[in-house]
Amino acid sequence: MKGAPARPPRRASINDALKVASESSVGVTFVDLQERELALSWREVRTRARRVAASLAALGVRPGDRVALILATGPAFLDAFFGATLAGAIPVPLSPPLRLGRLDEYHAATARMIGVAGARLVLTDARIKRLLGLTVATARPELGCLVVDSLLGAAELERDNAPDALALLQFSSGSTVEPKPVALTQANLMAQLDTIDQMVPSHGAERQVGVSWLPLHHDMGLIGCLLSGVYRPDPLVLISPELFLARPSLWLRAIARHRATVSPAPSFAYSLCLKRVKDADLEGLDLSSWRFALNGAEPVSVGVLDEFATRFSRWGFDVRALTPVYGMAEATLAVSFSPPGRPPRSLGVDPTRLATDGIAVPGERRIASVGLAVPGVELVVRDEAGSEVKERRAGRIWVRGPSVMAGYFQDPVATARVLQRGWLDTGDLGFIADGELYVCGRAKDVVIIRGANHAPQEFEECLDAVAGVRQGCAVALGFQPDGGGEEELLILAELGSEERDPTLGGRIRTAILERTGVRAHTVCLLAAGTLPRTSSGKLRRAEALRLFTAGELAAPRPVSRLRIAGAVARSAWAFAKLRVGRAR
Amino acid sequence: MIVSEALVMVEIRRVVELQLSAPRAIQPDDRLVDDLGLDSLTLTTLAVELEDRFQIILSDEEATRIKTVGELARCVAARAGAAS
Repeated sequence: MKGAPARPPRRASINDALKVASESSVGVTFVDLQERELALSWREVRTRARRVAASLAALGVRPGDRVALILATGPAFLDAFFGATLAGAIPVPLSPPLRLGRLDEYHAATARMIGVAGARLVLTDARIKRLLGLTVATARPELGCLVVDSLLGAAELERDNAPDALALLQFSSGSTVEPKPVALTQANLMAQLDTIDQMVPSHGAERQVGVSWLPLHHDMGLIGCLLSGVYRPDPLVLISPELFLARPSLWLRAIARHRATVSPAPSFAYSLCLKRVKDADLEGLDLSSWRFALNGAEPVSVGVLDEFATRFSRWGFDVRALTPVYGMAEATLAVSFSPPGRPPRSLGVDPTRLATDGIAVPGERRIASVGLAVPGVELVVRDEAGSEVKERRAGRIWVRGPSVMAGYFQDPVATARVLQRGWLDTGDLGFIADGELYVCGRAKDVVIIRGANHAPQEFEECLDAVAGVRQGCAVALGFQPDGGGEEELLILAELGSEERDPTLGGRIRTAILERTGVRAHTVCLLAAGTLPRTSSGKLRRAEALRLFTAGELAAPRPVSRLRIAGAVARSAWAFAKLRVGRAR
Repeated sequence: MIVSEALVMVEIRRVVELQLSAPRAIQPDDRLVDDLGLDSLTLTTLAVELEDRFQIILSDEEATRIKTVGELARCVAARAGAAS
């Protein structure tokens, strides 16, 4: 399928967009836990960033240098991000450490990303800096690690961005072990921002007011919300992700208070609202202004869409606002959008036929349509031989368009694996039905938990130290349990001995939870030699999931040890009918 | 502000038991991850609520080494006391 022709972007670069935004009367508002608000006009954002840019240049930051940003949502993120772009440098936003989480893995992963990006400088704030000691000592960025506030000097600077110059590195878990830096040019970004502007249009006096709690180190938060707000320019309200997680009602309340029209989030966020927002939290509020409740970054749950629309209609929420979307970091962000102004569309398919034969025939697993290719994007579903498949046949989704990345930063080998003659292999599986795209599974080895991509190795490595698991013979997979929930973590592990140890499942769960902060939904213990392997002995994750889904894997024995029952009580046998597609 | 560990325990219980629907009464010896099974979402919620309630900051190496409910209560009480 092919989106409408792309139109030429209205701005040439991030700096150009910020300049135009600074001439408007609108800006960004930050909301804290008490719902106190701090407002900055885009003009103020630009002036602050120009001061940071001058300090960065004085420190020796040159055009094209990478600057890593490890910051929470707040004015300092904007100072650092736009300060870097105004200095001609390339921002590399990275996630800050989790509260009360373990730091060992964080230090190793973050130091590696700083190294891969070749960042010469790390910018952070005073609170986070206290946690970064080991990260910085390991990565040793040439210009060190600085607190952004210290860079707000008196001088101002602004350098030009060339359209074909790199604009941003965003890390993606892609399809391999380590996160890869997706290199985006100014042209990639502007094409994407213009596409979003066409899908969610702003007309004259009618503004698109945005609200977002999404992390700014993530494409949907950074590009979909922050940079979109600057590009249009329109008002934007930002909430820190951890405040949203602690009190999800902050999100809906901000939408109502600001009469917001657009706010995107992964499916889990809609689900979290259903569980944790109380009726009393919304008393007297009105959600009817919300016209684009975009839903992406992880598989869309049809059950959650239905429940959300039903529950929140009482506060004026319109089911037609629910807009499932599809995209990936390698395509800058969005690839497809559900047509606006209609309720979400879904299709019931037979999960077994889909898993075994790759055919979408009527059945009970409901999959949400993610709509049509956005302007400028071409999208095809191909079989393993590379031929385009017919409607309702599952295959790999490939996309092409002006916002598809130039490649992974300084990694031609990884780039060649996913980019072929301008076409991006998304690694996702899907089919087209009645002209719309349905994403039904994944061929690449990625686990998506709460909108964040994880390499399976993150989870599998935790099992090395668990006695009773056959060494190196476990796979971590993302799957959607029956009942319409979000993607969850599935562990398939081979036993190290014939003896059954009743504590093994629990020990596996604890090892993973402790190191990654993610709770495994289902742990399946298998006899040695059950998992499918390549001829060279490598585990085949996608094939394992396909066999598991089709019920062809030798009798699994689920182990459940969930102590927090309320939120996560689910049938241990829920995996019987998974929402997973044909692997190959 | 003098904050007793008992007061912090009350707040931890409120967050974990009510907001997060834990099925049983939590004890100081409970380990946050091993025994209570708290994931990153729950730990984040707990950190945000405790920081807000007692006006402290939990981000540093020491806070990330906390294993049990009792250790968390002690750490929060000590910081709240120091901040007054």
